[in-house]
Amino acid sequence: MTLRSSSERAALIARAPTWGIGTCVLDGVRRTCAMSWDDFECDVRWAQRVLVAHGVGPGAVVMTSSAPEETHWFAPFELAAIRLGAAYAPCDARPWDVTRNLSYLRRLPVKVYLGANAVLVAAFAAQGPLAEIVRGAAVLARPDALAPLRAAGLSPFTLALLGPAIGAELPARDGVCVNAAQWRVESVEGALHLSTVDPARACQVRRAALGLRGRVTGSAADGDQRIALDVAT
Amino acid sequence: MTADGKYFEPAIETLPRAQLEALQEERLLEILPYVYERSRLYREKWDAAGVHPRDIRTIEDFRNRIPFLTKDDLRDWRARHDDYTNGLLCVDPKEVSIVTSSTGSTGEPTYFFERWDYGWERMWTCMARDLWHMGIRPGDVVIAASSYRGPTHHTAQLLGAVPFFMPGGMGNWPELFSLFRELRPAYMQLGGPQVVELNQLSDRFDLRAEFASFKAVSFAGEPIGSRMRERAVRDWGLNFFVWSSAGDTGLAFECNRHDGFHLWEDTVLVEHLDPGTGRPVEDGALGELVVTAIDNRIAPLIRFRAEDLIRFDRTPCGCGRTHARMWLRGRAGDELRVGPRTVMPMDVWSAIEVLPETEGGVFQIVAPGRTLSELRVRVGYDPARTGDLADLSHRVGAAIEAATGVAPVLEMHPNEVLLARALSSKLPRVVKS
Repeated sequence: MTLRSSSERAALIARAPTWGIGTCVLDGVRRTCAMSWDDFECDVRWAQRVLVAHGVGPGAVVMTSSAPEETHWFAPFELAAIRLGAAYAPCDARPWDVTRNLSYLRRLPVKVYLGANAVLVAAFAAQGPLAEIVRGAAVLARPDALAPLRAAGLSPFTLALLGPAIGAELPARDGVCVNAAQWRVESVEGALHLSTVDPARACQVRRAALGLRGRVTGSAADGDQRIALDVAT
Repeated sequence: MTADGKYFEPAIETLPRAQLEALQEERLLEILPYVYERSRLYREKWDAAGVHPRDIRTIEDFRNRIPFLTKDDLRDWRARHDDYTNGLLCVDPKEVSIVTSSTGSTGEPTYFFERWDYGWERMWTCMARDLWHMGIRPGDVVIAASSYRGPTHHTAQLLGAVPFFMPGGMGNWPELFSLFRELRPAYMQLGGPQVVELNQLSDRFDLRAEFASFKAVSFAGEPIGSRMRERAVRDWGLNFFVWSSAGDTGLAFECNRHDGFHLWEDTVLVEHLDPGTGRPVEDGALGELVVTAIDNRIAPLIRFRAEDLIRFDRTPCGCGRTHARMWLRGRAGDELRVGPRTVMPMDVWSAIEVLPETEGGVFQIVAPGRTLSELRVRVGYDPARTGDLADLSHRVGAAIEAATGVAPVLEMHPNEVLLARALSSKLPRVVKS
């Protein structure tokens, strides 16, 4: 098959040491943050743990609403889902893609939905009861979408972009889980700061302000940190 | 030609025509029984037509016996079976890696399914030959990302390049230019709304300098007007490659001759037919694109009427490739009847882009149906280049009437207002309201 030939041809090319380059805002300034292939692999393994905790397995669908510039946060979930035998269904998080988002939620067997934001949730709500649209999927929503989802009677989990890192709440609801093998979050007078733990990580940050408020609630049995974000309810 | 030359897969890209057609027939004859055994829709449809894959021994048999597949067929199946796979899926749903879809701008989105057999997403693996041909090489920084159509960054990664997930969004160019200077990217994809924005910025920024690191810039999502393309190439210095979908079976890019989109015919069997009769039309004439995905074992489209009106040419290209080219001329059904006149969106486009204030080609035709009593057009203008709006409206109206034979009813809006209605990289050109 041709694409096999293209893949085989590509395999002759040494891959770049850098998996990809994203950007994030730290200390109030947008900066680039590179990821190596090893970084990506670490993030995929952590994303697998998150998805497994939410019940993702073969035949499930993991749906996301994200923007292209958020690839470095969401692509690990993409590969994690596929490794778990699930399918990945990506949508854009911007308002022009509401139709696709709604179609996936209504038609696909979505087990986990990552990345809902307030604008999308408002657009969904205009189409009918949110509970009927979401159909029992675990919703890992951005902080601005939590209140409207709760007001509609749903129980969303928190998904938070933390500078170059990402945090996700697990079914135990013991706080937003952050991969402790890679990152450490501190709260300085209520302002959250991030540091890189893994010395091999391409993106090294030291006590960089995330622009978010909250507190660190401790570590769980899985070894990861848990944080509580101050989110308007 | 070495592998480091202009072809990523020289043996396939320059395969002599007779061998290419023999390869197509071999793959076609493999896939027909495969889908008949696995796809409920094809089995139902072909049984109803009284044809079985064992009856098909040549491409000619295929063209004469296998029924067309239309978007209405897919909608009908979905409605009858409440089946989001449209009856096309040839593997267990548990084998599917990724579900993507059309935008759904004209109805329910049509779903596409892929399996990552080699660790890469199939759609974007298709693009490796094209990016290589544009000069993208290991170590280059390529602006790409995971999107609603899947991980476009896979193309960069499998070429040994580094994807950069550029912070996008309209109105963000000064920050992006700063990132261009930091990362020196070699490639990016633009859509119509972004090109309009760049055009408006061209008075304030030296775009030739800002894009100096780029080896190539591609454009897709909708046609580009000839004046805007000329501006991108001549004034901004972009090596500009336009591309399109290969009828939802893959991608079709211009080569370095910039004369038509190459269809990768080892992945797709192309027919070029009279939309009315379904009979083949001569190469060079206008016909409808009908595609068969001969390299897709997950949910292949077989004799799918893509509704694209194309000119088609199988003769070898000056770039050395033997794969056919198409020139997209519009969509079947794009035609609007206004009284006795037929109006195509491209007629309006070519009329307004000649005026400096509206050269961005930002417009929408408001058409509740295909037969109209008046031609109502929303036209976008660049406020910075517009003095007397009434005068501009008069000139735009005259230009559209000269191009279409119909005096339009105009609504004039700043470009930004209309671009806010864009679907990602595409502004719907014909809208119901």
